[in-house]
Amino acid sequence: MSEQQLQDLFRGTQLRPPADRIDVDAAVRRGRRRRRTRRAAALSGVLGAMVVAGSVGYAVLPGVGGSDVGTRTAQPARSSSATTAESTQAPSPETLRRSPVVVAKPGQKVFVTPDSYLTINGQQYCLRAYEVDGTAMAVTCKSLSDGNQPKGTVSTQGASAVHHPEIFTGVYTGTDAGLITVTAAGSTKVATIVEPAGAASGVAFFTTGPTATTPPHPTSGVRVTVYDRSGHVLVKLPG
Amino acid sequence: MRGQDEEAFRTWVSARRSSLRATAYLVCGDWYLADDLVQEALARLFSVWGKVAAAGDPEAYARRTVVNLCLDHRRRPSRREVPHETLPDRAAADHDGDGEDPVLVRALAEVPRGQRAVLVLRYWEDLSIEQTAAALSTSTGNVKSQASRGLVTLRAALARLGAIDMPVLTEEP
Repeated sequence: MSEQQLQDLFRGTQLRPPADRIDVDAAVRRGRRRRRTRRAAALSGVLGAMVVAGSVGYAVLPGVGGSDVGTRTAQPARSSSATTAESTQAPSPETLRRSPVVVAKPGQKVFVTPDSYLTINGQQYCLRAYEVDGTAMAVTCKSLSDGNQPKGTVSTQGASAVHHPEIFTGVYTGTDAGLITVTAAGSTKVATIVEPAGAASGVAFFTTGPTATTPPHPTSGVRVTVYDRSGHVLVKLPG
Repeated sequence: MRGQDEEAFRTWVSARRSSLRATAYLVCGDWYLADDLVQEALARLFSVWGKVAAAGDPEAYARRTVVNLCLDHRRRPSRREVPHETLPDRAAADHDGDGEDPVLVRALAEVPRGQRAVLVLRYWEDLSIEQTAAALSTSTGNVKSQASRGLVTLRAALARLGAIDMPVLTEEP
């Protein structure tokens, strides 16, 4: 039997289906429930992250929290060696004082957008983002501990530039970051730091907004600066 | 807007439900199960209808969902096919009772489910190797090897059922 004969066999086969039992109304109702549930989960995740980030920020406000435990606030010191161009683009200390920090347990979803989230553990972090047609998730993972990225350095991983040019993520292989800023498209944003619960060898960070300057390379043209908790620059990318 | 979406969805379903039922039946081998899985697939499709319709190919989404639901359904231990030495008594046949299943359906039932899904998508749905790979979220190389092995099994089954003499089936490279 040739390929053609096989195709003819398939095409010539007449199925005898019984009466159609598909209830489209029920499918629509169930679809609505799924959509509501998904949106509610996404919203609660975002709100949860905001609450956590807000509570951390509140705890470290000078004179309010009264404790430096878990401090992730840094006053970025103006480096005397900073160039004029950098000075004009750098955020002011008043507007850039701290990075929100989310301490995530293994498997916990930290929503970046309603249809994308980060997970992190001691070994790696992953960004999962639904493709634009909602049919599958694009997954980007980066190890925190495989040694491919030296200690105290920063790397960036954009999400799919086609589907999610607004998401920008990265890894800093250290635990002393107080503030991470991302500068792109003429503006500087404070990144949210996502730290694994327990012992960590590094942290992930993310921002959202217009960062993709030349898709499909969402990380091109983007500058990342990591400050310590005293406001000193730890590392820049590009260096 | 929501009403328009639902109307478009229902129009699309009325046009494509028969095709989805047939695909589900050929992969899972049971009309009633096929109806259940197609209904679940339609619910999932409706929940993302806006995005999927905007992307322009809701059929690919629905087909992928139906096939994956069939494969996932069989993976669950409580739902695995249980081989019987003799067939149990049945109140009614899966089809409408006007005769036994076509020989192709009976032969496909002997093909492992993953290979069966590849054969159905390739030869029933007339998808290309690339489209089949996308529908199953696998590589084109895997599709080729699964199709090749599936054809060997299908050939043997067709021969055993007397549908062919000594066929030689090969998947085109």
